[in-house]
Amino acid sequence: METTVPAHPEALSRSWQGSNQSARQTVGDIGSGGDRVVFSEWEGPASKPVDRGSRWLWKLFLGIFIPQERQRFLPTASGYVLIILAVGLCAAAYNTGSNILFLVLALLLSLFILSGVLSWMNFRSLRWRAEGELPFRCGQRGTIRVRVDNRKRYLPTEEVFFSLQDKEQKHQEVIPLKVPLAAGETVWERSIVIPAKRGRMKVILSGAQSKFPFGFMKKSIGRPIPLEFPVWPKRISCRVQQHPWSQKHLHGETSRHPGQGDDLIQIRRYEYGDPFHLVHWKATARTGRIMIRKMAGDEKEGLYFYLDTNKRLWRSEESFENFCRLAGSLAEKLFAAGQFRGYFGPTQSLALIKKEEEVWHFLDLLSGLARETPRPSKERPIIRKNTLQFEPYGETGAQAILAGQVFATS
Amino acid sequence: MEKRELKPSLPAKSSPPAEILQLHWQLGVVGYLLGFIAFSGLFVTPLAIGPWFAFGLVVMVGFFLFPRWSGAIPAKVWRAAQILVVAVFGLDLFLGGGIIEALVRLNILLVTYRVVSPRSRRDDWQLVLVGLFLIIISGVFSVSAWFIPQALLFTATTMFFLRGVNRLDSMEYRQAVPQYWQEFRWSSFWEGTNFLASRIQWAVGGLGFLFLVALSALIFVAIPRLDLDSRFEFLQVRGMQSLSGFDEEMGLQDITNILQDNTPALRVDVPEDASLPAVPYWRMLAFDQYENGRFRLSRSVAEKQESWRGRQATSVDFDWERADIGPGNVNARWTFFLEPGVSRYLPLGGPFGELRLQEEQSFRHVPALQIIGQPFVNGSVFIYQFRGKGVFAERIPDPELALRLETAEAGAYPQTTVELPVNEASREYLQEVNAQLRGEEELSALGYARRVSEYLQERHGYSLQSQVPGGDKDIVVRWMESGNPAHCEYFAAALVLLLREQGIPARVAVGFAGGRRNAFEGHITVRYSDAHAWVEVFDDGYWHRVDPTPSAEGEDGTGEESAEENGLGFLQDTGFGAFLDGMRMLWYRRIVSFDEAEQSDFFTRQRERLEALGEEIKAAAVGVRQAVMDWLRGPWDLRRGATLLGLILFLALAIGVARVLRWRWKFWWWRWRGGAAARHPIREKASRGLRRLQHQRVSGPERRDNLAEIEKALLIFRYGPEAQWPDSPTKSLDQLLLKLKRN
Repeated sequence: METTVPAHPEALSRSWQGSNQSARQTVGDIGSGGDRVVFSEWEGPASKPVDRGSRWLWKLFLGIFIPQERQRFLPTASGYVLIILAVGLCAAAYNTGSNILFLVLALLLSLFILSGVLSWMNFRSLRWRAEGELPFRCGQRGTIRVRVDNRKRYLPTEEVFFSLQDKEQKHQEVIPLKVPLAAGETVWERSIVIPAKRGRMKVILSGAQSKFPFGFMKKSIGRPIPLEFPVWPKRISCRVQQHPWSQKHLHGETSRHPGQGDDLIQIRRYEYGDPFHLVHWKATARTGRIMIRKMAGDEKEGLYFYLDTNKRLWRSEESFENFCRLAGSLAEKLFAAGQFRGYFGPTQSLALIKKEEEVWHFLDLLSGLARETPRPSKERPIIRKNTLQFEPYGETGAQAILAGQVFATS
Repeated sequence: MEKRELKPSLPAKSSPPAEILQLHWQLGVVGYLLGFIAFSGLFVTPLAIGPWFAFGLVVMVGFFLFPRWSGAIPAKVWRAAQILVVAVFGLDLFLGGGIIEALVRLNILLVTYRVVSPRSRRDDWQLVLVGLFLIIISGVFSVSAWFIPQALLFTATTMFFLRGVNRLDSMEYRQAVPQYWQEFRWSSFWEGTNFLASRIQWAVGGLGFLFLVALSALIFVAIPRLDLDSRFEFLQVRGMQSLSGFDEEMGLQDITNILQDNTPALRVDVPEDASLPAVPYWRMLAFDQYENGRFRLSRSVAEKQESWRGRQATSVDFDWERADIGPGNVNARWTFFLEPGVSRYLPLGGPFGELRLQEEQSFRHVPALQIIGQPFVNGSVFIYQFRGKGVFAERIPDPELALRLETAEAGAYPQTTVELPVNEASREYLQEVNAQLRGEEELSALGYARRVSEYLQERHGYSLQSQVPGGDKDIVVRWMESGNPAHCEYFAAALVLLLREQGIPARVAVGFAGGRRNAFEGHITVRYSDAHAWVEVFDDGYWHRVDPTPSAEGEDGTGEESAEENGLGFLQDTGFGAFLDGMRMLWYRRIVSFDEAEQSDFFTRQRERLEALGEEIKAAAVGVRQAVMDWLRGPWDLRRGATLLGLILFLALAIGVARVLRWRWKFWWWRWRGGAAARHPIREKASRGLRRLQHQRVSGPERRDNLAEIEKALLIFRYGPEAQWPDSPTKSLDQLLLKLKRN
């Protein structure tokens, strides 16, 4: 939901300075969807401090008439009609010597100039940047927001729009400013994107564009902002088979000995990356600090993923895609159950998973995974009994194998 | 690449939000306004478009009163109407209407159609363009002063209209509301949204319009004017009829009919240093032939009309000799603005130094009678300029007339100026009167004409109602016998007949006599009610003007006394009517007749004014500096010290008051904009303080603590509830910012 809130740049800019699209800095108090992340630096006339040098007034005056860097003006269809009309009027005025025609010509030219001046005032002291919510998953709705600050003191900004261009999918989405933005206010305008495939999504956020005030000219200012995001594999509901391991670890285990199993054995302080479901709320409330449960099951041996991207194994692109989906979905499911320990591959050394952030890295890795011809290696990785291996299932599917038995299928 | 521009967020079939409907309605009503404004110029246009104009107006008013009609008519009918409009235009052209008139009629239909039919974005633009075309056409052809308010109104409404169109386009629902008129309700028309949602937008719009007007004036004045040799004449409207009496034939009642109209017929911009007679005569025509109560141009004169074409000419170009036109500035400009439909003959005072026109023109001129006429009657105001000395010659040279009189055949000019085609009884009466008046004294032709004038003035009174008894004699003779009062044509005709009976060449001249000075613009306004007929008598190589009508000024009507000499001056037009006339003159003078010479003069004047202003400022600055220095160098005493102290205190007080007023202004402004909490002046000031704080370089723990304390206090001002603010927040905030500055 878009909200218009008073700008408090001095508060926010400090916390977001230096961020870029690869960083995941959470602004926890805004919104309730995904994580709000700043994707880009500020752009626009107000993105830099105003140069109040000795000739700033002169520059300001010139700026009205001479297009500045990254400013583009393109007549619209109606603008072209008016230009032709003005040329025709000019010819008629000179050929007839009629001052009535000169007067109309003067009015028309003034209207053009007024249009430019109003447009310049509309863009003045405007800044914007891309924000959004991570993660982006293939086939699922993701959000990119344009935060627009009108830093003028008196005048509103209106009828500005941005476009979000996905060159790979040859698609362009227009993000309009739906209501006039009053002086000193901020608005977030949202664009929903649905990534079509796993990998890296590259979109370009255009500069601010507007046909304000009369629609003669389409004007744009600011440079295009290239944005790039990892697109995680699509989350699927993987079918976990009747496997002894899953019977024991995922569905619970009976034991005759007290103190064993998934009992609480300790409460410790929160560490960055601890999953939220382990928060011990009562202890947190009593101590005033976030406390985390340590369960008996945490000490048990979880599962490791062996990621083999061999082309000979994954003969079709579709089955490989399903492998990525299965691996990603299982990883999240197992991590939630506290059973995802790490991953490795023929050329990838073992990476341990302890924090949620490391699961994100794993999913980032999956987003960039591709079938490849294996390079000869002297060392064969050790496949232990708690290692999940993936192999094709049928023509297009994929399945996870644990200790020689099918663990889950896509 | 697929471009998804402003895709509707709502499904096409769902009903649009109320505010979108309202915007459509408002746009529709503003469209009607545009149509009415465009039509308003047609009231004064001379083109033959009456029925079309009436049709368009009736349709627009009908649909305006019942807007739902637009929605009720099926789309197929609207499409058929488009085809019909094109067909009507084709038929109009085929039936031989002029191309300009046909285009204007097409334009009227297009404006009407676009105003009343449901419009898309493209149609909105078309409405603006056809409306503009209609305004240009009516302005160019009528040259009416209404053009200025009309163009400004149209521009302001168009700005408003285009803002609405653009706004609606940016709201994504444009395509979703094809038949918005179906749900029109006047009751909810002004509720909710409109194009300019806030007061600040209205203010910007108003200021923008003033800026536009000022800029247009500047561009109009500064745009280079080129003196192109050949210009198109298609902007001249022709085919009108001259007023009866101001054409090539005049009856005894014609001028009197014109006299009933009190509207202006001619305006004259008089040079500042010009000397005007008390009653100026603006001569248009002279009639040499008389027959049974009617004066006309004789066939021989009409056949000798010559054509002339150009932009400027002298009297010599018209085969007129340079006359003794008295003292005066040879560069003086007399600009004449002749209203449309008066006559195709130009009012002239007499021979002139130079005649200048706005564009190249064709003329017919009659050297014998010294009249200049256009081939057609102007449908719009006609502007021409004389340069040279005074244009009011009381006599017109014609040195060869006496010779030509001897050789001319009967019925040919100049014999026509002495011929007396009346019956014997009439001639006997004329001889009898002449015998009575002539006596034994030797009089020149002019002297005798004056005596006859006196006789007629004594015998007859002036009246617009003339009664002539019946009988066999000539109508003028019957009137002379009756002793009844009458108007100028009778007096002029009687004088001509009496003079011709004596063998003295005489002819009747018509035009205007008199005029009033406009108190606002200083020009002379000559009205239709100043229409007049008088006599020209040939004597000693000149045609002398003699006015026998009793109401005319001066003993013999020659109006020799200038306004300055008689001390009376011109009668002045004052009041609101004169103000409007002044505005019209301003329009003619500053806009319609603005040319390269005027442009050059304008810039020269501005340069001189600027130079004079610069000199004045410089002199004032030097004077002030000198005065201050003198005061400082003078001997110091207690009084001077007290004065200086008082001055300093006054300045301090003024600065304090200015600061208070500035704060009050800020609060007023904040309240005017709705008093949003985020834009509270104190919060904005605190915000600036926080920004300043952000750029402070922190060194040392003590300073850091101070800054932290200031930041905390500033944050309360910026974001905290007003209840947490101190009692006098303005003062406290100022102190806080001062502390920040010093830290």
